[in-house]
Amino acid sequence: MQFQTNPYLIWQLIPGAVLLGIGFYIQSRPVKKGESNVFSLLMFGGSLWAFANAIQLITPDMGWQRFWNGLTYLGIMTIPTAWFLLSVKLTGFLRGRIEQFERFFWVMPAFLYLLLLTSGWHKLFFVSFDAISVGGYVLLENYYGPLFYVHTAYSYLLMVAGIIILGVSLATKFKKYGVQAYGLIIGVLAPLIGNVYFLFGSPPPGFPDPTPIIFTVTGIAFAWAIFGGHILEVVPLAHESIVRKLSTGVMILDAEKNIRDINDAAREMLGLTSRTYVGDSLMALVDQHRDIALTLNAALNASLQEEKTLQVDFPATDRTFDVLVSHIGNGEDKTTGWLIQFTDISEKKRAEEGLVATQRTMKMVLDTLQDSFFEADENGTIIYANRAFIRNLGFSRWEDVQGKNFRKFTDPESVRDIFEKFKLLYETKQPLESFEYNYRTRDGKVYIGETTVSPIMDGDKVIGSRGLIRDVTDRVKAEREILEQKELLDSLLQQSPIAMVINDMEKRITVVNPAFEKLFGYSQEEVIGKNLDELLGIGGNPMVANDLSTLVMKRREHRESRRRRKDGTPVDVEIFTAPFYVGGEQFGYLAFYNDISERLAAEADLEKSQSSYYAMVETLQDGYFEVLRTGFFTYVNQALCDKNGFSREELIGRHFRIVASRKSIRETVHRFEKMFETGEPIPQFDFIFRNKAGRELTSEMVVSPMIEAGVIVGARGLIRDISVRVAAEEVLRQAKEAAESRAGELSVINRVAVTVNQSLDLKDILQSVCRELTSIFEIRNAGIGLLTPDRKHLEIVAFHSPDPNEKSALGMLLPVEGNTSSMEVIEKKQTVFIQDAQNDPRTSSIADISRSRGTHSIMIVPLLARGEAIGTIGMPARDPSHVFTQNEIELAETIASQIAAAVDNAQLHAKTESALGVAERDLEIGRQIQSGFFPETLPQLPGWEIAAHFHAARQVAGDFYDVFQFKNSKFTAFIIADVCDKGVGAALFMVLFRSLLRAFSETRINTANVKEQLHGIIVNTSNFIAEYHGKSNMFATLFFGVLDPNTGILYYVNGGHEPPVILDKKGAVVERLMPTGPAVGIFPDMGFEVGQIQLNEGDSLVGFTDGTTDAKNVSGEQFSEERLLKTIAVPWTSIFSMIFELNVELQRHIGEQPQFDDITLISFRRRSSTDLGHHAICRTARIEYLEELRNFAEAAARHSGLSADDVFAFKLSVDELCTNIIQYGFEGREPGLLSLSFDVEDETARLVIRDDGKHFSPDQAQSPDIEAGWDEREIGGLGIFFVKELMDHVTYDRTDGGVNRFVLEKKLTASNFKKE
Amino acid sequence: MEIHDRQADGVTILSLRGSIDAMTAPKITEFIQGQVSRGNIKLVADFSGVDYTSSAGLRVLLGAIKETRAQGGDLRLTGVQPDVLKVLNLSGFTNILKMFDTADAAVASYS
Repeated sequence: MQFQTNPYLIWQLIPGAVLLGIGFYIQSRPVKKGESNVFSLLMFGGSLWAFANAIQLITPDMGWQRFWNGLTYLGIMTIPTAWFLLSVKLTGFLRGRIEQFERFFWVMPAFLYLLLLTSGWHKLFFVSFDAISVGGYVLLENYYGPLFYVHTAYSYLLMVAGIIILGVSLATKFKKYGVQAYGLIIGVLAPLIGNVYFLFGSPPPGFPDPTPIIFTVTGIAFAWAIFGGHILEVVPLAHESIVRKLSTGVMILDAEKNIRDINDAAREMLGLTSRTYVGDSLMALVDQHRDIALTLNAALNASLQEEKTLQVDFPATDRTFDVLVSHIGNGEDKTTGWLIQFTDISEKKRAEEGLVATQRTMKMVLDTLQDSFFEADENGTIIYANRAFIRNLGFSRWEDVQGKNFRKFTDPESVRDIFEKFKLLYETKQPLESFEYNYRTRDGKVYIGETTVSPIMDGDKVIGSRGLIRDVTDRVKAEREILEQKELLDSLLQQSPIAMVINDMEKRITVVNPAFEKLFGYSQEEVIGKNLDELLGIGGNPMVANDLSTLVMKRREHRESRRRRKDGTPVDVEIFTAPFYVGGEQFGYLAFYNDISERLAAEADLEKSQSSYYAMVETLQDGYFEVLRTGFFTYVNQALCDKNGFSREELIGRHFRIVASRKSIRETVHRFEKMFETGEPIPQFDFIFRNKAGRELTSEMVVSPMIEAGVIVGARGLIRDISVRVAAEEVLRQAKEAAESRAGELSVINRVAVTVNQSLDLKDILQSVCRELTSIFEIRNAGIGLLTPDRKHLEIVAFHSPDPNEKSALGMLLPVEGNTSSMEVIEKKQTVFIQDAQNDPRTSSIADISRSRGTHSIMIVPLLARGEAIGTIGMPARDPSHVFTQNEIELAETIASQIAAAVDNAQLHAKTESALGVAERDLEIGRQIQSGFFPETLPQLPGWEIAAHFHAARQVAGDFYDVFQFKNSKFTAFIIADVCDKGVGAALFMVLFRSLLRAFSETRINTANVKEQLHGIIVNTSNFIAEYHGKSNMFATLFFGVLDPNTGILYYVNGGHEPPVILDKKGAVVERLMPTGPAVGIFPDMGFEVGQIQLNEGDSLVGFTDGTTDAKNVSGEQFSEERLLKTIAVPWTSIFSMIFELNVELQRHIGEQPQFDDITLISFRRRSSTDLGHHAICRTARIEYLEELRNFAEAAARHSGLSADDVFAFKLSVDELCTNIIQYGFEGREPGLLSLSFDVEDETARLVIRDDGKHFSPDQAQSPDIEAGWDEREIGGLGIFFVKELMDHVTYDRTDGGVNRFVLEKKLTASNFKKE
Repeated sequence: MEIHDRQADGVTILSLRGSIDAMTAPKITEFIQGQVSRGNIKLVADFSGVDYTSSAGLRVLLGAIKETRAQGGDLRLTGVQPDVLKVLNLSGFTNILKMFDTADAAVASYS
């Protein structure tokens, strides 16, 4: 074979090689197969074309050339299609559509090639050929058929299309391609230019088709653009550049989890710097780290839709990464790869950890703060609070405050304020200045916090707030206190009635108070800064006061003087000046001025009154004198002069002894000297003075010292001419005689009583009474007749006549019918005196008897018991014409009353005689006699409360008490006494004693003579007993008090008795009225003194006998005075309540032990305006107190003077209601309290029962059917029914405090009141 | 509250002394029940020593009456004092039970 060379061989081989190289290069790159294959095809096509062309031209052999020419066309036909497809794939233009038909695009050239190959037969492609010689070598030249032009047109079509596609894409997305775009442009333009040149230019002849050359350029350009710029990489153009530049590590895996690309950042992060790792399996990379591999694997295998984010630590690098794994799909549901992004969060994590640590530290710091710290969100909900915050609000756990609104911890009053504050915060976005705020703790206490709040910002928006709260409650409290004190001081200054001035060190006025302004007439403004002394100075020259001037020596001064007012008038003032220190340093001077004008005026008045004093002294009947210490008269009144017969001039300046008799001078001088020494006045003493004529007269003198400024300067005295007193004493003595004769009458009664003592039989008693009567009265006989049970006859049960011949009328039955006199006596309950029984029609029925007995005048006295006549005593006079005097009648009535009671009860007792022993009977009689002597009702004394309690140990007592008002007088007597013995004898002695006291109290008593009278009563009683009954050796301890209810002064004699207690209104013991003399009746002429004490509002007196304090219990312990005092020393609502409770205490103490001695208690109290005026008792609601409660109701009602029926009504009602309360009011719990209170107001008695038990309404109880038979009656329901029946008004309510209240009321009509 | 009993002609006479209220009533009920359980169903209660009773006492009486009469016996009163009589009247009990002046009369009423 012949070989030839052509000059353009290089131009064929080089491109061919390059294209081939590029083609292979493309294949070697990790690029998408679609693009890379097409690109490679393009290159291979070009290369084939070039090489085939080169080989074609190595020989002129046409056969060879034709063969290889045909091969070039394989290349030639490949290129346009490949070019077109490449352009589509690169730009994505209609890519989807075109790729669908990609196969058909290849069919076309394949078909054409086939046609080319078979062109020898159909000659459509190549018609013929020729060999030409060009440029030194032989070249095959083809003559083309129609198909060739089709192929060419088709090729050009594809070429142009590709150029346009690429061109447009480049033009529009130029920026996207970046630098690599130029490569693409060159690559695109090259064929364009080449073809243009080839078509329209003039290549050298024989120059081969430059297309391969052109495509070499294109290939190189494209390869550069694509691979250099990674255009064909999996990541689209330009994203690549971003990816490269990213600080985020990016890794791209293909479907086999091989690393297709990894950017620098990723490489650095993962510490994979040594090689590219491209193409390596990711899994193999992390194989050493199994957990990472697993995690990544799991992430990679996760579903297509998910983007997984993990945090992975790469130990090799000691770093933590946020790994974001996303699928790369191809638009369908297939994963073609993964994009993994790494973000190194090590720093962030460390920062976070650091932050957490910082936060923890900060939290610790916050928790150690004393102050409260909080953070809240924009709604004010607490999102963080330190321990102090939680604690200060009274909570214990974070959960207690978490999520709560700030509002919850603030004082409701201040909630408004806090809203405003927060609003301000949000608006201004500035921290708030600290403000004081009222917070409220969990238990509702308020504490004041100084609060500082600042906003929490997120950019420009306020998302919350944080603040500090300092507890300033104490400080605020202290500030308030200081303010209050300051206000106090200010008001003190303002309100002080004394003018106050504060001056500075220069003695200028700095402060004056309103009193100063008022006193001196200046206003504050006018005087400030002025000199005080100059301002107020008066008189003389200069007009300076000198009040402060003298304080130079830093002393305090006090004087009285005159000062000048603004208007120039003088004012008398008391002045105090003193230096003024504050905190140890002298601040200035103080001056106080007190207006003493009034006082001076008063003193002037006193002087005037002193002169009137002397005027009064002159009017005295008694002699009045004043002497010097030395004894010389300085003043005598007219009466003294008259008595002594001296004139005033004769006495003044003379020594006292001039009027004293020799007898008494020494004693008198001695007395005076003692007085001058001690300053004690001389009590009344007898003084025998001598008048001018030398006569000696007895007088009484009282002297008291005259003291001026603490020094005894002399004496003043009164001389009372005793002769007047002697006369008075005579009067007294006569009165005493009168009283004694009455007492003599009483001793008659006593004798009767003594007689009773000797015999115990009723009949005997009555018999001896008749005997006594005959000895007392001038009567022929005495007969006692008792009404028979049928009240038709009088049975004569006792009869006595001194005349033994007189026929006894004993046993006679006198008919009442027709015996008008007896009937009258019995019905009218009055004594009847018949002058002539024989002829008086009133005694017609006994006319015969009278005649037979020779009776003429007769006195018939009723025997009254319990308000009814039970019989009569008939006493016919000895002398038929004798007229019984009033005195005799009264005496007889008195005696009759003594025995009537005894008789009456003896009759009753006769019924039960079998049950009573003899001793008891006699005691019973004695008791009946005695019981008539106790005041049945205590007097009502307005403004005073009186209560008493008496319980005899046995049936007759030796104690007694008495309360009565003196006749025609306000003065009231209170007596408590204890006779020294027990038994009947003592009882009767007590009767006598009591009668004597009453008798001697029948005297005129008034304010002037009360002490004397009282003294007289006691002395007389005592003497009487001592004289007449000295042999019986009886005596009694006695306390006799006489009260002036208007003044509250109690005059008293305490004859050896237990000292009564005086309590004040608070119940404190203020006084014990100690004995003022011995027991009464021991010896005659014993001395008693009269004490007195002032009782003020609320003061009370409690008197008792030793039976009370000595009362023994079963163990032999005494009740004791301490216990008594302790029991009564309480502020009582009423002394009745006190006496009641004291008695309850006593009874509790005594218990089962038989009472040894009588228990007597007497008490009275001066009402105060704060008195509640009711009687009250309070007990625990237990059944054992039911009796006490009931007894209280009964006693209180009785004490208040209710009738027996009303007393019973209250007693039963209280019993029923209290029983209900006790039994049902406290089920299931401890018994509470039950209280009763009782008072009478406006004729209504009211008893209130209070308890703190369950609610109970009286309507809850059904009324029982009181008509029902025994078998139908229900057991319950009676209690309330009784209450409603017995009371006029029953109300029930329940207070808010859970106290039930029953109010029982009963109207007391006049007839209900208990009569005397 | 003291209670003594004695027999007379097959009748048990109970003498009571004191006040009858919610505290003392149970003692009486117990006593009476003791009597009834021993077959003493003819009872006379001597109230001459009873100065006071509340509705508690009436309950005692009613209970005793029902028990004794159910067995053919009775409880009859004697010596009723004024305050007690008031309560019996007020409650209509005077229609239910028989009262006598003396214990003997009450005993005799059973024959």
